[in-house]
Amino acid sequence: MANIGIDLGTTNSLVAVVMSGKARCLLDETASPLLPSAVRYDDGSVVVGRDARDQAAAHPARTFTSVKRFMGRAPADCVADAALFRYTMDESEERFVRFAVPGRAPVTPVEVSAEVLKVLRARAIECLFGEPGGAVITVPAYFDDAQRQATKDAARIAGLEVLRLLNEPTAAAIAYGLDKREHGVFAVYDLGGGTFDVSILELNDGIFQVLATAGDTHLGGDDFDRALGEHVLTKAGLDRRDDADHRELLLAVEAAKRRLSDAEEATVTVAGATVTVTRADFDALIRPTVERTGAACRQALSDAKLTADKIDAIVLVGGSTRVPLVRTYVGALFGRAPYTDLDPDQVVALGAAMQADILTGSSQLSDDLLLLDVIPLSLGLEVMGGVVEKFIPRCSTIPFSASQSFTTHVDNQTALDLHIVQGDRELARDNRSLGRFTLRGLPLLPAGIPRIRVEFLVDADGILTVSAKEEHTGIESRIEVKPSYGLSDDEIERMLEDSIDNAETDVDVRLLIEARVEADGILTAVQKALGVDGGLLVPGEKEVIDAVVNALTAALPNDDRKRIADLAHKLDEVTAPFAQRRIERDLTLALSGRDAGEVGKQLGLKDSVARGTLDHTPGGKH
Amino acid sequence: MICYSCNEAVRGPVCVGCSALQPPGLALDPFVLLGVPRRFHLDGAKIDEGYRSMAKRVHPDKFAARPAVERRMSLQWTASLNEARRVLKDPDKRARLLATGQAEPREKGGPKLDPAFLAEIFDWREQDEESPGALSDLARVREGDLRAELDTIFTAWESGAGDLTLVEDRLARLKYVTGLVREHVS
Amino acid sequence: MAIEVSERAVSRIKELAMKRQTPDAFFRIGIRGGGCSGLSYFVDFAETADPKDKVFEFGPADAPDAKVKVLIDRKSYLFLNGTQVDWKSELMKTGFEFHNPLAGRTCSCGESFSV
Repeated sequence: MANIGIDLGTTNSLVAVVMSGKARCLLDETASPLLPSAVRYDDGSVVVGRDARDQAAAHPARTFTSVKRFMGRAPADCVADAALFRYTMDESEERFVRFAVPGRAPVTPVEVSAEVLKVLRARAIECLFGEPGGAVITVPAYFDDAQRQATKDAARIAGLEVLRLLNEPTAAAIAYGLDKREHGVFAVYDLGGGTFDVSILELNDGIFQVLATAGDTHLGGDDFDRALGEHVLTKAGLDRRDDADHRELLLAVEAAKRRLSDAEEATVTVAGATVTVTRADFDALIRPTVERTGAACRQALSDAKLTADKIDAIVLVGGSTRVPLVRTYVGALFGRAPYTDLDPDQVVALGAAMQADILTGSSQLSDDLLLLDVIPLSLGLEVMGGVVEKFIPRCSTIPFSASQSFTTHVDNQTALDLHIVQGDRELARDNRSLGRFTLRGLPLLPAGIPRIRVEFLVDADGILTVSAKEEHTGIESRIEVKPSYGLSDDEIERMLEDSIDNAETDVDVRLLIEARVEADGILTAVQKALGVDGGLLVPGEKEVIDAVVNALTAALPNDDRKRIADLAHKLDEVTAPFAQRRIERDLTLALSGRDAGEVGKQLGLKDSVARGTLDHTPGGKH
Repeated sequence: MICYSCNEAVRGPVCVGCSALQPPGLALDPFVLLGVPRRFHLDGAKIDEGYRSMAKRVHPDKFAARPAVERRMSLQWTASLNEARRVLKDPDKRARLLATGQAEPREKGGPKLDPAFLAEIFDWREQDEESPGALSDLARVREGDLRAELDTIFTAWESGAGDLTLVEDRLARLKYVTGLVREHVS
Repeated sequence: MAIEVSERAVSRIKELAMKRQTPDAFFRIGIRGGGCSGLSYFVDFAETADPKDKVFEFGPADAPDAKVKVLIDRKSYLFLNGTQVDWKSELMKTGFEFHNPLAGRTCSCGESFSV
């Protein structure tokens, strides 16, 4: 089972696999590697990809694009973005964003992303003739804990096992084959549809170490579109349009933006009015956005304790880096021309596929390549006065663990509250609240006596877990996590079930049916064989076979396809010695002089073939 | 130590017999983890080399296809390894680790400072009132002196002479004085 | 007689090779299994051929570049001799279908049959 790499992008998503020693993107029927991250909810069905994107203007209320901008974020922080895309948010939910859909239950960004992932997964199954083992999914390096968790949730609903969340700039660095060099310091400038990341990495002796990362999860090519759109409206003397025209405008503006990468001018037609935009106009409109990326670049250099001249190469990632102004700006900022060899749209997916291959433990790509990534934002606790006390500084290499001791303030205090925030501002309220962790079950002791050691562990995906132990008694406190944002496990389970229920043409239903048919076939064959040749069984064998037969029969009506497949495989295994004896017995009979034709008939073979198989070694396994 | 998986004798993080990752164990001494001598004066490049070679053996990416118990242990190993590097690459933390056995001060705020030293600081503040900037200049000079003193103490200790009893106090003074320099800059 | 691969199947193999961006890969077909359930067919792409494999080419006579190279290992070939391979889009699993006179009926990949 191969592992796959997935780039879940704001504008486009891709899936790639290492095959024949090379990472390759899997294409759709039109030979494109890109799947537009657009989803339309029709009555009773879901349309994903180019169709959904191109018809967005015709179905503005049902079509969702750029949902990555909403993943894992607080509804209160998304009001402006929702307005920009004309999505209607459910205001009653504080913990996560939910969009209204006409004639349907509201959908979360996680569910919308899951629809995109399902299509990519189906594409992988088609090309690999089976399910992938696991997936490496990329996220912007600057995604916080809640945004990362949301990405994992989406993968789970789509039926994917996430092996690792990989930061996009790091993925790009691998793909560029920078591991071919011995040593160097590289900057990856990744400007996508909605997010911007800049990472500085050092390659030394097969280890890719991220030194620093900075960015803005709210800055990208979509902002170019918006600026151009407003300019067009103004020049055309038009007012704010209704939803349908707005989408049409955005599409037209996006097309013009792409043309302006090669041409000196482009025209945009909207509501009958035609506006001409020159390269100079466009550059002036997008310059403020592009310059915002400079601040993050300078911060990354500072955190890495480097100056621009120490960077050996700059790598550009993301469709928006095709814009000429971006390229000249980056070149000027770092004092050297950036690399543009690989397709900036595919490079992240390819890197993810390479990492996925390495995680199988038996990769041909590299014996020795190791990625050491960092946490992008500090983690801290809110202490007295609303101030943050950092316990994990930003750009610390992960996995990272830090521990702190706490004690109680009143006698017999049985619980302790910790408010964890992520970010680098001084006050807790200016940072991202990750959640409130309540330690329960503390021993009954006078105030100040308990010594509760709390360990914070950030794993290789950049996600935090908390554990606690009271040191005097050794009691491990139960941690109740109330995340500030995100879906609960129950909510995800429900979405997962919904997703299976609603899938008529879904590949999973087909796989389940097939698994049942196969299992049924094996059960029938086994029963038949036992009926005819039960005498060939050795002591104890029947019980073992019966146990598996019963387990498989019991599993058939349920929806756990993996269990059915595993048990069918197991049944095959436990009956193999029995089957072997049957074949040997038949061949012995044949060799003892009986007519080959007769034996053949007994085995159900045609005459000519029967004679052929007598030369074939028994067993049939390769 | 015996491998929990195959009962072979074990020396190091990975069992030679069955490749199972072993538990990190109670004492994860940073010097041992990074394979560098137990000294204050260390070659930064050697710390990095030790780090890289250990990371290649215990990092979670190497255990993605192994059983869950090994994956969890590799997280602990690597978190400890990253912490070890963080501590050894910082001269002050390294010094404190050698002197007290811990990288961070035992009490929040550090040990109590010598009254004579505090009196000196008070003096400096008075001087600063008369000629602004004097405080940070004096602090900067003292910073240099303290670092030189620590260097001398450790050099002696590394050649078998002297001990590290003064280190903790000097580090506390250093922290205070560095704070003064920064306070003035902002 | 060897084996036959229908035009639809050839088309599908080429389409998959295109989607995977592995245009030069071989297409391997074979038999696996041998327990009580009997045997089942499998298909997969392969980077290299084993020296003992049987290799067949299929595709339009007038377009040598559009040929598909099919590999069958020696043991599988004993059972596959005389088989016709076809492809139907809505079928089980991969959609590839095997008409094997030996098995007495048509099977898809993964479906067990006995001889």
